[in-house]
Amino acid sequence: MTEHRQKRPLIREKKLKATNAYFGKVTQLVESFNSNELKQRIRTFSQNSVDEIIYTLEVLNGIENSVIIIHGPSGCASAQLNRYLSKSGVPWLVTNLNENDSILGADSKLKVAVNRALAHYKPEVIFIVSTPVVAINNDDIQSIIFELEEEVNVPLVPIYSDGFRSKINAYGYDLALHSFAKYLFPLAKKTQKEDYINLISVSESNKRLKKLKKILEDLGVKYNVIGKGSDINNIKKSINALATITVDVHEGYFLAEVLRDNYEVPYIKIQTPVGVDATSSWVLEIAKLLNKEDEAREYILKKQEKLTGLIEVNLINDKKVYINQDLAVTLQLAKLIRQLNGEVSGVTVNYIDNISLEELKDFEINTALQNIHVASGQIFELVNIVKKINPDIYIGKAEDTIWISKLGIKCIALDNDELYGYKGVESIVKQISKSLQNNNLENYLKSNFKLPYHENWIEKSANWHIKQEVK
Amino acid sequence: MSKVIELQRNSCLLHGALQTVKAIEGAVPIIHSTAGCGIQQYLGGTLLSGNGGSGYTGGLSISSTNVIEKQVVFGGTSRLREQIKNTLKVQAGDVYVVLTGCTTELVGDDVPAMTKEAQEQGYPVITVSTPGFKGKVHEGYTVAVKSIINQLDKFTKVKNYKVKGLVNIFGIIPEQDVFWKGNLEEIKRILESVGIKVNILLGLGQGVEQWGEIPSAELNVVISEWGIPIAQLIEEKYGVPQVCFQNIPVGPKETSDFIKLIAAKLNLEDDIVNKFIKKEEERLAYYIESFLDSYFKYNFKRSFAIVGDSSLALGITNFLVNPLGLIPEVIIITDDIDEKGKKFINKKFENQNLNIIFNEDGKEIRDLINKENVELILGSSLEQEVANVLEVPLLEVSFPIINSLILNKGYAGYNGALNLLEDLGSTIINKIL
Repeated sequence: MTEHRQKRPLIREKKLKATNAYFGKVTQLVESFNSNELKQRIRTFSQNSVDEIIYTLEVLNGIENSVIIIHGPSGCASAQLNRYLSKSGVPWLVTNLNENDSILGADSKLKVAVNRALAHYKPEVIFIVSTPVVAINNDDIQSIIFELEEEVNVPLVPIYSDGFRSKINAYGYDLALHSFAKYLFPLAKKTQKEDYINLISVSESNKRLKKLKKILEDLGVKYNVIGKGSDINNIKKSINALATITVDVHEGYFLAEVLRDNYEVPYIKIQTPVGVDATSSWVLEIAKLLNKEDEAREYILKKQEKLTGLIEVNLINDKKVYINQDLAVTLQLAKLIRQLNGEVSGVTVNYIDNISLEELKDFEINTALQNIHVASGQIFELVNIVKKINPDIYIGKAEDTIWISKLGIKCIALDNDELYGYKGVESIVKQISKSLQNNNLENYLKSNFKLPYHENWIEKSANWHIKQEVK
Repeated sequence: MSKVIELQRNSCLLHGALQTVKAIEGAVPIIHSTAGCGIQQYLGGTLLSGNGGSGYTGGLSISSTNVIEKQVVFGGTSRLREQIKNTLKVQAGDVYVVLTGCTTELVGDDVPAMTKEAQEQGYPVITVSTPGFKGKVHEGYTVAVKSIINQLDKFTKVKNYKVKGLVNIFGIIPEQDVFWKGNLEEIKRILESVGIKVNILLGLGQGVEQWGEIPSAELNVVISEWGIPIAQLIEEKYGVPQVCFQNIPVGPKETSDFIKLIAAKLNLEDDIVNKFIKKEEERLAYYIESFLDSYFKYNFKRSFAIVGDSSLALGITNFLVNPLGLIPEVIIITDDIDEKGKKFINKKFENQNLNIIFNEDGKEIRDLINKENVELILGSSLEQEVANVLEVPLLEVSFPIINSLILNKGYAGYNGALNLLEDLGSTIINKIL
């Protein structure tokens, strides 16, 4: 497979039949995937959503001792300011392209940026992130890099994130990981297999990643993380690992597959460790790689026992729960809710692709759920759907919870929740418990606020603005 | 002249325009660009503006064409037509403002034609040309306000008859001025207290009706460089005169001067004005008296560096210098005001021996402050690192601010001075204890 030697990876619409616009029967969706006839859909009304540039930055900011150069106008670097100030980002420069640069080209600015980055930070790697203006103007980043590379000793890694090539924002993850494979793997030396496994983490915060690392440490598993707090050496040594696992297969699969197909590092696909069963399965599968099954089973038993004692029985019995999280997390949380005897009355996932086909089938069989909503953001659809379902609890993120709470529905946001592992289960259950105990805020919001949509819209079917793409 | 910038704090023109439109009640922004533009503003603008919120119509809820490759290659006007039509159906609003991003402007979509279509069908839809590469966030405010004023008749009743004692306020940029709501609220309060009717045009209760009243004002009050072209336009178009205070008034002296200046232009009775000013100055003095113990105990008379946009940075500096007695070592102005503006500022402060520098580069700002021997820094969250290195307290007064939750606190006027004293005091004290 030479995809990683191309300028960019294939877009997910082509590679994984991914889509981010759907509201309808789960069965129909599964069937379309099965028969390979999933039609691409577009929206005739849409709201702004996270794009590939923002997701590319998510990955790059995990690499310490690096500098990011955003090659574009100042607005494209706004999200980076947030990352940096949230203590989850690396230093950056922006070439600050203006109208003139847009017409005359901005090569010199890129050179200035690279030289400043080198002088001020002495980084181990410099990432150059492209933006729509650069893509449309066809600026030739590659030749600047060739020129500069003769003078500098540091890898200059371009990421051709144009901001409009794919509707699936997770493509941004692919773009970044693709650049690691194309530009950084060749700098490593292939040796015999080492005794560590690769853990590819993409969107997990430093805090959550630490918890996952702790589980591995408790099991005595040596790991090599590519994610928050890693550096170029972690990327390089991944080619000699025993195996690769990704915290979320939808996010890290690209790199895992390159390692499998070109460097003989097996890719072990395991479920994202959210919820009791998935966490136990995660622990067991990893332990199997290193013949530590017995220790693992003991560990799992101990943890599960402790958990059972902490979870109030009947808390969620028959309660209707709506879940809106990233794909893997949503599907796992759905299992957890069912395990606790709750009813999953609706889900929204940010995109769907054929990697998740098995999980989707599983989902179809095990829930009474009729419809699935596929959207990144698109609050107007979300409000329409959730209002009609009227769940007892809505589990989302702050950015969407703020809107649903105004409907008077009890809300939980998982942005700063533990989420993963057994501790994650405990913490989510606690949040649900508090929510059921006191929902004064949601009542207050319902009486005092309107949503900015016409009543007319709320009455229409939620997929009114989703149409099949006409080529 | 635009340079490469390190650790940048100022976003693009589109974001400034978007922040402005969001702040008008009943205005529905429609972004004609790639999907991420609005979210970049949310993450790197709203959330960093004292942890601002999505409010009624921001965050993930902004109408956007989300153009993809197809629209880049073949043009996006039909996508925009469709989006405008559907936004009218889905989202309730009094005016729909199409904002264009870099992509669609480079591709050359004929956006005015699309809005004209909607207007001809009787819908209140207008367009502002706002590609990010055309300028910075501050200019986005100026461009948006001017453009909206030029299109008032497209969405609201334009009041052309003059209303005595009515003023419009220009120059405070929503979200870029982290304290914009509190600042505008205080300015409204102090002017209303002397009998002036005030349209702040942005924020609570300020919608299309107030914008329609713009031409009927007796006076336009400008409190930053960015309001000057707006006042200029209104003077040419509607004959409304302007007065420029050039910075946000902070504290007893400047606030009283501010009120007197405007009262004079409006020919208000001295009596009422002086009575109010006296009452407020006495109130302020009462609180300043309470804070004297802390002033001396914790060594408030410090040399300081201040970093921020011209309007608030200079306003705060003036208050710290007089009457608080602090010593300014370096003032770093981060908005890209033009030569005329820079000249004016240098002249206004020339006999005060202030070291005024114009720079928006986060790294250069850090280095500049590092060289000074300051005992206090007022700036943004980006200045936290240099404050740590120098081991001095940092009070966050300018964008970006991530460490505080700011709702209606302001630093303008009399109340603002009290807020500033409390925050400054708490910051200094906490560093010592």
